[in-house]
Amino acid sequence: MSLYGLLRTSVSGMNAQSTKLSTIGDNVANSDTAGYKRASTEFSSLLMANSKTNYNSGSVVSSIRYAINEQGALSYTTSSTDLAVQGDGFFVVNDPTGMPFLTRAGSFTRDGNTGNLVNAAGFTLMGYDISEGDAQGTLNGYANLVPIDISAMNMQASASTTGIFTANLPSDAGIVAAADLPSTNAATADYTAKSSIVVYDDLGSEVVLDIYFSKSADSTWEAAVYDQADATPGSSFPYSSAALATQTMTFDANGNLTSAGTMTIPVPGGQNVTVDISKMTQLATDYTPLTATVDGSAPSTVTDVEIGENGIVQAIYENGSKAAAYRIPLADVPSPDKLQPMAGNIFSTTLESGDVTVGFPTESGLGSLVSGALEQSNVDLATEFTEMIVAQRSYTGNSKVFQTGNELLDTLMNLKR
Amino acid sequence: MSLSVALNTARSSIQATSTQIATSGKNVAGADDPTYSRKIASKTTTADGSARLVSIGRATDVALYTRMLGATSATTGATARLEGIERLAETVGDPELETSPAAKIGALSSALLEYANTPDDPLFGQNVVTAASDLTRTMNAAAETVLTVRKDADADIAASVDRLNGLLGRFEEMNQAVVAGSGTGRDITQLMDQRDALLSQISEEIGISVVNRGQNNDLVLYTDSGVTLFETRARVVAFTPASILTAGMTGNAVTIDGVPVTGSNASMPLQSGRLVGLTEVRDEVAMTYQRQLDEMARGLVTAFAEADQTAGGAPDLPGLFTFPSATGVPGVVTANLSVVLQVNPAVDPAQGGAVARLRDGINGGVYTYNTGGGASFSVRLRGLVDGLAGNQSFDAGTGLSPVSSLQEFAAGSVSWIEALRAGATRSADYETALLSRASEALSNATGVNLDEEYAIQLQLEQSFGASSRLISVIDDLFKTLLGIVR
Repeated sequence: MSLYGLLRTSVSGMNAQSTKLSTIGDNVANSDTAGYKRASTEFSSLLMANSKTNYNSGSVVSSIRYAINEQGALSYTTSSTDLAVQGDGFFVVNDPTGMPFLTRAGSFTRDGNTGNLVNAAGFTLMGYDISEGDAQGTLNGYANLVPIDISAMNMQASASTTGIFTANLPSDAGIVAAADLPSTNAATADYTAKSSIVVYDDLGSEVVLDIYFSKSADSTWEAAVYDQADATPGSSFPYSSAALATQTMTFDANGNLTSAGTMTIPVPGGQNVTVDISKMTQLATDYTPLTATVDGSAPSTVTDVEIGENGIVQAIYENGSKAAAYRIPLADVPSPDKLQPMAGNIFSTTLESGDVTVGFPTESGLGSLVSGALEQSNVDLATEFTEMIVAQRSYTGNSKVFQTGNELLDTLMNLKR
Repeated sequence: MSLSVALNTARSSIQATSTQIATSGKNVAGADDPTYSRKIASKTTTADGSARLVSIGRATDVALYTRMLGATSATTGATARLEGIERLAETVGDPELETSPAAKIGALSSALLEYANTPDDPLFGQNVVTAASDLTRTMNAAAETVLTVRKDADADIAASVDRLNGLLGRFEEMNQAVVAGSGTGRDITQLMDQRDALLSQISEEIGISVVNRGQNNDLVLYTDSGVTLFETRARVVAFTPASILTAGMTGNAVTIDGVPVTGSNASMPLQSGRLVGLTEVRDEVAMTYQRQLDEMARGLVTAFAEADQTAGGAPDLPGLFTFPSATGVPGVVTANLSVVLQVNPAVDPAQGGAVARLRDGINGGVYTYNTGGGASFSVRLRGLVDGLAGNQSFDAGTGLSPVSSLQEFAAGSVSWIEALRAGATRSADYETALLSRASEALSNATGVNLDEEYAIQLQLEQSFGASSRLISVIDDLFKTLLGIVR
């Protein structure tokens, strides 16, 4: 009985060691796979019922563990859509059939056919569409997640609504007669200074606004805004339609603006642009425009994508403007090491791992996203090799036990001739 | 895991160092380019301890750059002005060589005196006519030169405006590229250098002030008088060259964004740049000189005018000097007179005239001075000599003494243009020196110092060597490990 048991025990020992060698083999093979998490084999003994005088050898049971929670080192790349998670959390990706999985492998590139961000294993990155406002997600599920489609971000235009205009008006300028003020739109209109600024209407077309400043009395100025498209060629005045806005500005003895600090200009075909003019001054120097900014943008194509550490995907348009389009969430489970690894560096939830919670990077204990980096595997070759040598020695030891048992049985068989 | 991490760190260091070497290489290559600014690659340590290159910046000095732009505009403006004035001054020539109108008037005066002494000798009369023709030729040539200078200045303004529009178009493209590049965090330093080079070219044509809108390195350009030149889009710089540009007629104004910026009616006049220099030559210097020539011509016509000798009240008529379809002697400045001034054909033997009529009265009839018909009649000739030497009143717009003799007036014109030329030369020299100082200061602040680059390269070489050494050590360690497995 015990001799046969010995053979079985050593076989189970050899089996256990070969399982360990298999995990080592996988680890070494995937030591350069981005997002790969090291597997290891743990053993537990299985003992037979023994009396005080007799020992029956049992066997060894192996179980597989994954070091999913262990962070891999980051290696930096030149692609802005290569993503890595620094800290806890997983990307939510869909397989081609639409099944959601978790992964840490973030080598995403834009898929030509769909425009989606797809990783090396063919899984599609999921996120919330925030182009219309904040993300509408649920904490404990994958509701409302959509593929991150870069090509869908094309051609967006935004109308101008706010702006800042700051300039110094020359206090020593001559006074313009009331009949010749630009607001009268007379052919003889005169002005002290003029600036123009580009704003955008609802369709994103450029509208150039002519802004005239004319000194109407001491410390009193008139600002008149016209649409440059209405100007008479050569002389500007008279414009074919009346001024879009006129405003009287007054200044105190120190040259600071005392009248209203904003000016509202209705853009033809667009929104009302509220221009902050509160910093305008009237000092004894030349007309000097200092700031002239207006928001809004013309429709233009996406040239690049920027992904912030908080997961917000911003489309960068040809004209340099940015628009937030998606937000990439991170999912986490109570026990990441208990997740079930599957082909393609993805993980699926199991009973032991617990259910997913979905949140945003840098929030509620989740890690941050690093754009232009990949998380390397957390395999250390040196450790794997030492483990391999140990496993080899153990395997040899088990085989020696088997051999010894076999020889003893041979001896036993030879007793009867 | 630590060996792999060490390998990763060494690799990131090599990656960052090679980019830094590339940056330094670019710096060395751009050392001779005056528009190149020194590039700086900045490195940072990341969360896992490896080195990563964050961004490539460039050395800038806004204050020095603004000064350089201002000096460029002032220099091109002063140079354009000097070139125009020098061409005008050529009409005077060397005062010693007696080619100026003033010298010719002197020659005429002495020929006339000789003739007055021997009025019966037609040879001396012929000398007067020759001196007079000589004078008119000089006057006509000078007037033509002035017209050409003005016409050329007008054409140069048109060319300058074309160049400006072209530069603004390229600036728009470059600004867009910089703005788009800033958004994506790409290395835009080279683009910014190119954009700055365009700025300095624009500042040659026109004085500019540059405002950085902060977000995305977006620039807004204004002229030095505050007119919007570039804001998201280039504004139109418009100019129509005059098809004809006669004396006394000012040329067209340059408009930017619909605002006239040159000429007397400019609501926001430019302060500096080539356009300003050219406009000043076209509308001020050349026009004043033209007016002086016209007044000189009018002075000649007036000095030789013939009056009614019968006290019948007939108007004065031009004498020796006249102009086509003359009906009287102009009393005020007459545009273009110096161009059409000619010797009266009635006294020019070459045109079938008779020299003696100068002595007797050219227009005949009531204008006959030598009523007795004596061959030695010298009253009229002496009168002419006195008339030429006597004081006349001239237009105040010539910038010269309003009451003086013709000779003095002509001499005053010569010294006026020479003084202007000397002043323009001085200011052009001064502005050029200022520009070279400003460029030098800017180059010291933002240019490449080769010694420094060599030092940086040595440092980078050591860092690269250390990282490579680390990789080879890790490789050896792995070899040892693999050696155990047999």
